[in-house]
Amino acid sequence: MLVGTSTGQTMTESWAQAIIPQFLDLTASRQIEIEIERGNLEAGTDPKHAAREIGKIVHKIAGTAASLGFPGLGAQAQTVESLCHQAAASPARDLDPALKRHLLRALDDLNQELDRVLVTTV
Amino acid sequence: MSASMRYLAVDDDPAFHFVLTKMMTHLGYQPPVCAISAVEALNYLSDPKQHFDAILLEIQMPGMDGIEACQHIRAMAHHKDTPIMMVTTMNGREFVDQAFAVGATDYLTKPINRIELQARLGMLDRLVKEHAHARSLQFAMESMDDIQSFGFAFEDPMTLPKCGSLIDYLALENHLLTLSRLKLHAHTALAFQVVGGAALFRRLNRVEFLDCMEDVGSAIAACLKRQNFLLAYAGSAEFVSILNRTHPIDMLELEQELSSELMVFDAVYESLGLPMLEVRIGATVNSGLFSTSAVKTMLGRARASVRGQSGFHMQYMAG
Repeated sequence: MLVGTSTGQTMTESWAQAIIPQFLDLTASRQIEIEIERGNLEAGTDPKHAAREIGKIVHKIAGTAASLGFPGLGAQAQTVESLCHQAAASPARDLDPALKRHLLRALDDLNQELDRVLVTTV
Repeated sequence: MSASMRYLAVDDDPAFHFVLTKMMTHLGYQPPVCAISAVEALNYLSDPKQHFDAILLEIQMPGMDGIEACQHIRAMAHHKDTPIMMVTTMNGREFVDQAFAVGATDYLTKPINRIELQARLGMLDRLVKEHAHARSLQFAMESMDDIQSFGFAFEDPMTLPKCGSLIDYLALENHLLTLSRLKLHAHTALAFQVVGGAALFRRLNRVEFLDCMEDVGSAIAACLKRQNFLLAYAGSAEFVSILNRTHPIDMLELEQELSSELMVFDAVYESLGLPMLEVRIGATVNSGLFSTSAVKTMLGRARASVRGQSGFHMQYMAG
């Protein structure tokens, strides 16, 4: 049975607890990388490139977060990844404004999840 | 579970390596050898001092991706039948189809959990043993000196060692299971049966029988080459193909083409005093909104239909 905690983390097995510190270190670095690319996305010089780069970073978060007991973070990372794929696949040079807004909102939500996990997980 | 199995895990994410290593050791496996890129993995795999029983491969990686890496691995003679399980967050139909088409054995979507990983690794363990048996068989086919020691039943879904267009029946089942888990349902199963296959099995030795099945498998693959397909030998002188439902098949045309392809072998079979090859085509069986347990039902219905005489006039919906 999975039991939720205030961090959104579910109860994890002992092997997983042992590697959570490394996961949190990596995730903190990734949060900074996402913030940098988000700046590039908003600046608009090469938004598709920024979306592709964000997609690569969140792909890694999506791949492991739920296995370590952070399903909310994993799901939000997957949402962002999917939007990044849509953005990268678009034939237009610039991002569709609606897609860009959607992506920025999803990044806000992801950032909140990251803060929740990184700040409050003990 | 086999503690002696040696796995190569290829993923550019060190965090995934942590997770996988901990899960596998928790399940009683050796820690996998971890490669951080496809290029590093290919270096490991081309090193004759390294031995790997199975490979876990991410699709999305910088530089060479997992699909291309899988093609390179399959091109290595000593890894042409090493089980490869794609382990990835990529859950689109195009990724699943590409992965199995280039030779993946199974497809596991991230995030992984321990119970599912245990089941899928168990399947790979069994496959490694089956492949060891197939390699022995290949050796016997090449040396022709130990044929009697290789027993397999008529019903066994054997790997056809010399037929590059076919995948293992297990991989075909895994492909369907993956599509089912990801709720991707636009595909069709179509079965083929060698007429008089049981009599051929009784009359020929095992190696000759497999040679015969390889001739048929090559002919079917040649007829299906205009569309995306996966084809496997299912045992009992039957083949099953998975096709994309968005490209309907002209069954009469397929039947005629297959007859032409098989005629190529007539002279050889006649000179050997064997009956001409004749293949019956079954009805198309479409995927429905089925559960994973209905995958076998879908394949079973495709095979059941080919055992009837007027198979392709009927259509079934699985599940």
